[in-house]
Amino acid sequence: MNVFLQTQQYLRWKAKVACAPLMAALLLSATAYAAPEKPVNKSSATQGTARQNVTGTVKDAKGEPLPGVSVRIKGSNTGTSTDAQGVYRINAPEGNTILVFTFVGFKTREINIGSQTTVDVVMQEDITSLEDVVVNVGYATKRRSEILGAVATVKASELEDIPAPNIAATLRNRIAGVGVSSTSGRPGASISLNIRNSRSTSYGQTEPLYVIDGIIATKEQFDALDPALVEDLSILKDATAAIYGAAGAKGVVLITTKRGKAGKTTLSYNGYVGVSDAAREPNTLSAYEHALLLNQTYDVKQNVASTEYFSDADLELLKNNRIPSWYDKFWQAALTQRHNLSISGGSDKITFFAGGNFQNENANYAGMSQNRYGFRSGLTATILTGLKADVNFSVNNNAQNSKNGLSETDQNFYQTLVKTPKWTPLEINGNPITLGAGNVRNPLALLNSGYYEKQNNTNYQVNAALNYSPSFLNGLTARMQFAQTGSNGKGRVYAPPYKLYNYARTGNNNLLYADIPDPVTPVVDGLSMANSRYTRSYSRGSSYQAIFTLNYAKTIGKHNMSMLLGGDRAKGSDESSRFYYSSQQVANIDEYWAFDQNTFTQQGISDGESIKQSWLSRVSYDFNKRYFFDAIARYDASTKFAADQVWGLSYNVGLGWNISEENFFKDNVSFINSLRLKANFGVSGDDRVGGNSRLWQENYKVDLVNTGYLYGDNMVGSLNPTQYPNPDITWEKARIWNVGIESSMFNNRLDFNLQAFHRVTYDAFDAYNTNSIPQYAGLVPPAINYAEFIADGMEFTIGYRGNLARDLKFNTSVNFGISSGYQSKGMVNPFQLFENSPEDWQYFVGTDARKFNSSNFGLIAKGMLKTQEDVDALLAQNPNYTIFTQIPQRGWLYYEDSNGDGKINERDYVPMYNHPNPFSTGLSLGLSYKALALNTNIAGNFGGKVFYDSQAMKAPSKTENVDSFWKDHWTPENPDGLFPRQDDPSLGKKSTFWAVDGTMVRINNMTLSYSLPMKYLNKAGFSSVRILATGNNLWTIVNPLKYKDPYTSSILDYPTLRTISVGLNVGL
Amino acid sequence: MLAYKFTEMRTNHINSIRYKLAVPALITALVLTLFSSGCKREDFILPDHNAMDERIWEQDGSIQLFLNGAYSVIMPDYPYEGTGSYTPWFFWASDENILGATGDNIMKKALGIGQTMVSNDMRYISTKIQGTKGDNKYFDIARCNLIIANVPSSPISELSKRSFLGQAYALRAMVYFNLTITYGGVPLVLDPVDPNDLNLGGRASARECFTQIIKDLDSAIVKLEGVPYSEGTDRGKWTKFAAAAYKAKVLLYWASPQFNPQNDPLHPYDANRWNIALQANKEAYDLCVAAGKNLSLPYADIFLKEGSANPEAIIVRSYSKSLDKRYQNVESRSRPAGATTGGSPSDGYVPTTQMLNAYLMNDGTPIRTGNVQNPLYDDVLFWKNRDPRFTATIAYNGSEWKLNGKLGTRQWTYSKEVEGSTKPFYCKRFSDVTLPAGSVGIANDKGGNGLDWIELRFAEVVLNYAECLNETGNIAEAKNLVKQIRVRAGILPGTLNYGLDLAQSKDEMRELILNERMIEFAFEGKRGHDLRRLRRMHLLSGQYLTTPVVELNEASTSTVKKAKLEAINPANGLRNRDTLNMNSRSTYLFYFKPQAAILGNATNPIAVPETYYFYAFANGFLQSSPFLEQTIGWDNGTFDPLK
Repeated sequence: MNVFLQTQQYLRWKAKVACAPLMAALLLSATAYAAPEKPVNKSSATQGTARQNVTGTVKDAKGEPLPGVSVRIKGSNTGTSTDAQGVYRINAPEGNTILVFTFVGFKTREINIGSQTTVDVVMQEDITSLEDVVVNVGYATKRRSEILGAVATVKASELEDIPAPNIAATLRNRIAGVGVSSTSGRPGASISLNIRNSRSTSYGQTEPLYVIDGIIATKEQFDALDPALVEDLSILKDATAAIYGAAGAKGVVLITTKRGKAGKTTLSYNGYVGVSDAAREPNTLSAYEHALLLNQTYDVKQNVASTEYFSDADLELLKNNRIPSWYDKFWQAALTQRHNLSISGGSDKITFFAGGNFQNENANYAGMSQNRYGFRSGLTATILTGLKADVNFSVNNNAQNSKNGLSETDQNFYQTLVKTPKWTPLEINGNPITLGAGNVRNPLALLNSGYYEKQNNTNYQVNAALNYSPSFLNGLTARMQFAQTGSNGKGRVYAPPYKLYNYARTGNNNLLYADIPDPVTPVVDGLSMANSRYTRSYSRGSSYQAIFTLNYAKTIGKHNMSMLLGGDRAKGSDESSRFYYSSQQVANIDEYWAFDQNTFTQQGISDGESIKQSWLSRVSYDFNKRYFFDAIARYDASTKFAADQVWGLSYNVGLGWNISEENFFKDNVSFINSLRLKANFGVSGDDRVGGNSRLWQENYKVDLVNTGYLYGDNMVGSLNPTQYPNPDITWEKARIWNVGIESSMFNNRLDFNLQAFHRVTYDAFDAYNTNSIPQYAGLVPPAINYAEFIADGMEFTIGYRGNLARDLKFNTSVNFGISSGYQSKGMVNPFQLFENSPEDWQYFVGTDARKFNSSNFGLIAKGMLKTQEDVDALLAQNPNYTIFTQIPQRGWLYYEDSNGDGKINERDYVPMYNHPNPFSTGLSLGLSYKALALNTNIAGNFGGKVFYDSQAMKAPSKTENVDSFWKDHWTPENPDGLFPRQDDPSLGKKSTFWAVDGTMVRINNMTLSYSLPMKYLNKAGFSSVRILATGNNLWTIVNPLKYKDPYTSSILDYPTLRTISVGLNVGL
Repeated sequence: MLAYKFTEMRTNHINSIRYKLAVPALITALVLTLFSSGCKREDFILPDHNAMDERIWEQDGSIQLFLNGAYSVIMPDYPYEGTGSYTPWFFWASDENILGATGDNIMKKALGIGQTMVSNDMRYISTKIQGTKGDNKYFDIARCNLIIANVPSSPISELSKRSFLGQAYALRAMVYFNLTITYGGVPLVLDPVDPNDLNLGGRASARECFTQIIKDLDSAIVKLEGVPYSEGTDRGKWTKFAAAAYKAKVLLYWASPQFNPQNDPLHPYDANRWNIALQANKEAYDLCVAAGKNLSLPYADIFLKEGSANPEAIIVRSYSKSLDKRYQNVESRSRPAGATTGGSPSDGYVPTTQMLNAYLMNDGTPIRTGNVQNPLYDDVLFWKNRDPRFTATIAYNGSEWKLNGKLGTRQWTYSKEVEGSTKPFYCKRFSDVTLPAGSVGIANDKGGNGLDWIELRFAEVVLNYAECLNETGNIAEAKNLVKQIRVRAGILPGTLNYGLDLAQSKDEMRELILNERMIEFAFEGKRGHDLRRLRRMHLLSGQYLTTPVVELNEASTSTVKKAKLEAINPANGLRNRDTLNMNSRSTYLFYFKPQAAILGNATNPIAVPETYYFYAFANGFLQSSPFLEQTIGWDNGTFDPLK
């Protein structure tokens, strides 16, 4: 414990050091801004305008004074704020001076003071209806009420308190139709988003397109964003994504980062420090239980050599097993933290924003960590009337370290901690032992060897835009945006040689370890000298994107029109190389020259380049805000296709009817503030071909070592065809219908949103399954545009905001989505379907993917043969009945013979359940009382089935430990045991036995916050201070499979982490 | 600082008219620059930096690289040495060696030893849809097809074209030949396949396949005329005489009973095929002789000499002991285990009793005629007075084999021998005795002896020719050719003209040649081919693949004689056994029981049905196309390999 605290302090100190340069950077940019203010003040002073002192009190509608309200003279940087009693004092020029009052949660007021010296102000609470929110819809913004597609929006402020690894993780369960899945709990493991169950084949992609401040971003850039530096997110879920036609078919996530706001310069800090631990610890058998279980298995198995058994003495020894669990030895709670500092301010002419973030996540063992830092700054300046410049700069750095591998699930390392039988010591007398069984590594030896893997990636971007709205043509805006992005990465793997120690085995079955070195080979290589290796890799990328748009809006009478025309051009290139040296010559030195210089091996150089060029337009029209029409067309060219196939068209047409604006409605229905019907249809494309993107081109790669040849002593390389081209390959496309009803009721307190969609993904990249073209064609079938997926679905969101009592506020939102889908076309060989071996059953073309999917495919279990009578009865009925070629025995499961051949094997697999998928819903709850607020996100799955994972279905063996649920298994003494005998030949085969009710209720996260009262803060110079306590992956109330967290796929994967943190938000 | 300047501009009241024009002009200019360039078709053609595209056919260098890949996947390796799934083990199923652990399942099935073969077992033609070695023979063919289709229109020199095309034709013939003798007629794909228009038919008849193979080899012979190779950098490339020798071999198969059975009413015997084969074999023989090929090398050195030092090699695949992944593992597979020898022996190199007995006496007579044992033969000291190829090939208990430079020592193979030998016999032919034990195995993708594999050597050309002469009635000339082989082997003339006069008829001469091939090509993987080609495999049914094991002539509990044999004499540093008189029957019998036990499968005899001369397509291959018929004899198959 002591050690742990020390580590924490050390890390805190480290964090401080990391923050120092950030602070310096911020101060520098702040001083840069201080400069221009001086001449302004000077000039106003020299102009000699008379000035006066103005004072007054600011109150809310109920008459309570409001402290901390910002008061500013319009057109200058001069400003102040109200004190604890809501009183302000300001020196303002006489005349038509306008004071601007702004306060979070209240509508901004502007008051022309004229010659008054006392100006009292009442501010109205700003219950902005969602309708008025301005939403980024791609290349432009729209008011929410005028959007004709399915666009979800999230304020980043809702996400920034959650101690999750990145933004994607915080979106879990928050938006109907947006799926979030993480590979494992390991810090840095990827977390992917999926919009409306997007599907593709192995060639395509299912992740949405990410766009940050108008520029297409990589997943890495998206993951690097700190929620506190983001303003909001909007997600285009349907064909309105056609505005990004080129890659919009799987949805588009549009991120707007924070901008400076005119007014007093504010400095804010936002951060947390927390502790992460396994949400559910693996609970495996103790050494004694494990040994006993094996003995019991041998008993029933019969004919097992007596030398296989643990003797009574062995068992007694294991009962008092002194060997610590490997898991306990390595696993410990880890520190995680995030800090964010930003400064914002400006005048009417110039606003600026600069923010830096630092995030550190430590893994729970093996020196694994992920450290990110980033910096974003933005400047918006009105250069001259109508001409605005927007210049942003951002840099992100992500460093991953590990004294082990850096794989997504870290299964190799982690599973040894869980799976190794607990009678196995890690070390004897300080010497790490050799396990001698299979491919299991000794984790201690690996850690002590000095092994490490490091990966450091950096990217930076300059994103600048000019907006020009000429005064001579009202309604016209021309915009030119240009972004240049660069990235580089470097990686190192140091794998030094190390030794393992061989100890004599004891015990009746030679599984226990004695304290005596093995007489023949006491020391063996864990990693031999010759195989020691030092690997380095480098990558760099650069890209630019240039966008030009012309926007013209015009209102003639009740006709409102706007039109957007634009061009977009993006070009990117990337390259990488990787090489290694092996056979370490100078021990303990992790430099390339410490290895045998003759062993230099180039592992690969890659070079990529792509260009995309597009023309886009959007036309919007409405009549009197009642009847809406919207059309999008985009024409893209992508170098991922052959020269004749580069161009692709995407389009969208939407119609909307704002019923609540109709007089008949307004006059009759008063409790409904707005009611809207909308529908749109469109086609968008996807050019994101996975792997080698040149599917249209012949492709031969050179290889020397593996497939080269030798003519005499002359070693030569070979060119191997790596891809068979399809010159006609072109855009994957999706045709999407979306209809929606949206409504706000009861003074905008209740929002209701329902969307229904029908999506046909067609021309999806596909290829014949490799088993299904004539095997003498002599080629790997190329990708073609063939597959088709059909999906239908509905999404509901209901939100409520209100006051339960004075000071007690409440808001909630429930979302759920239902969808069904299937693959309606795919390349399969009609001669081979359902003919041969069970592998062919992977084709489910034309069937509902909810039912016909591989996880729902298995045997129908009829129960367990508890007694010999059960076995006899079964055999009497079915004399030749075999279970995976073996004659049934008691303690085994038995199954329905679905194909009626009298034998149970894979051919009896059928879809097990008609409705295996649960009904899933997400609930967000917010409750606040005065300064105290509680926000919770709850996930609920109801009904459906979940299955034991494939690792859990495995029986224990003398080399593998299992979860302790196996204790309750069948033995002659315990015929009612829940789980079958360990030698049941059907173990590991999917069946209904391994299905449980899928109901799951889980509190994903919960935040309790307290805002310190203003009256104290003002004295100290703060504008706001909020402290909070948060938990992520907090609590699973109903867990269908008790042995693991619902978000973890197997107990051998790095577990889902529960993070409990304390946070602080400070505004200055 | 940017912000400061803009503020200054504002305070300076720059005339707004100017920027009204300047800004749009600037933006327009920028937009035009960026976008005007990107509208042409050519702008979307980006070079592929990672790989070669269709430009591959424009350069000698890239075509050569592509051809190297074809060699890599097509050229055969040492039998028994590998462990990869690509290894065509069934080719080597014969009575020459006992069966071991490696790859033995398919060999056992091919011989019906304890297991029978089902249609799905024979996956030689294809295991996967991919082009790495051994996965799919049609990927190998596709490589050749690409060269054959694309090189003629290439801008390279005519000589280069001839060279590339000649080699590609020869390689393609090699693949189709191996497929045809396995399955008896396979789909003939001769052009690159367009994936969008899979114009593929069913199985071609064996006749069509042979016709195509001969056509390809004829093309190779013509194209390779005068193509210059340099010994240093081109060894192993197909030459004109190699293609001719291969063609001769192909026609021998076409004439042989596998494809040309004598007593099959449905498929009348075609004697003329032997005339055609004879013609081709004569041409091949003459071409090889003209190219300097001969039998001048001592038999023991055939696999130890490489390049110009080896006038017998015609088709070779080269290996290296020092280059990454260019090793073969035959040294380890044929050497005894043990610290001083360093091998990991395979049963593939352990001769059966049949093999041991096939060797002649040193005058060319067999060890037994009917039930009469040759007086020269000693069944205890069975190595005495034998065909010198016996001791050149087989390491037996107490034989000379100075592995690892152990001068003065012998190889001992009695059971529980002190240095770790585990087999009663070893094969010496592919072993470099000078190699230290530590270099025998493969470590870090290097090691072994790096000796070239000779797929076709002049002796085979000679014996193929002899067989054709015999079948066409020219027994005398056939004997002259076999005599060349026996003379080189070191057999003495004796009283029966090197034993050749024992063959009085065509049938007897056929037997003699078959036996000669078994000895001459011992462990070269040819025996199984001969048995299938001559439809002799099923006649082995009932035989067991076993070999005698030598044990010490003392009770199992005693170690007296063992100690005596293995004690080291301080005078010369040798164990006593190394000075044992191996020519004394009594001395030998004092210490050893020569046939105390047997190694090999003594439970299950060979049981080969006649249907095994043409194998079946595995399910995955068969069902991948509606046009494929199964071979007759397998799963109600309808495809007749003899049509």
